[in-house]
Amino acid sequence: MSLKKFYYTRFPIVNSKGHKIAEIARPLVEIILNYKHGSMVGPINALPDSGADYNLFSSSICPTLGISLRKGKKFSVVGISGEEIITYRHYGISIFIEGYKFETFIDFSDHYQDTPILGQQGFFDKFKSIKFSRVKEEIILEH
Amino acid sequence: MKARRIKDIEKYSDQWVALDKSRTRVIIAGKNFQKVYEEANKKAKKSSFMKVPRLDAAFVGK
Repeated sequence: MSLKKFYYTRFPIVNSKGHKIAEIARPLVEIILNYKHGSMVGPINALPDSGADYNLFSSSICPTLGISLRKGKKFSVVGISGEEIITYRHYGISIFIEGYKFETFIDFSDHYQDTPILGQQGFFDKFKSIKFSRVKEEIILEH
Repeated sequence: MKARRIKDIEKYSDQWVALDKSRTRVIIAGKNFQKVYEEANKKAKKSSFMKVPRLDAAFVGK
């Protein structure tokens, strides 16, 4: 058994004048990516999202990884807004988390430009358990 | 509470940033990941990269 621990990251929420009106905490983890023996890219902060089916990343990362976006397998995903976006799935991507490596697939999209999302298939299923402690503000990944 | 805060992060809403090795300070920022990545790797070792969320709205999943 091996454990990887990360702490939450706090972000301010600001109003239209730029004044802080609230604060949120997100359970980000640092990952390093590698595509088919290209260069190691990262560490990049990504969000384990237990409500997401798949890994979803912005296409802006593709050139650095050496990935041609549209050579991937075309899919579509639907978010909470109900809006459908086109994604391109690429296989053979290695993710490293503090020395733990696994191979997975990632859906990339021109229409998603937010924090990289780590979903149930392709991330959560690579671990024995993933525990979120909101009180301790920590995430523990067990593999 | 052990959560980290990143200094002046509100200046970088919706941008890619490179963080220093302490992960609490922004050293490079921009809209293009590859440019930020390349600049940061020239300037510093052990950088970490983050797409700062839009800070004028909370996130509830895609």
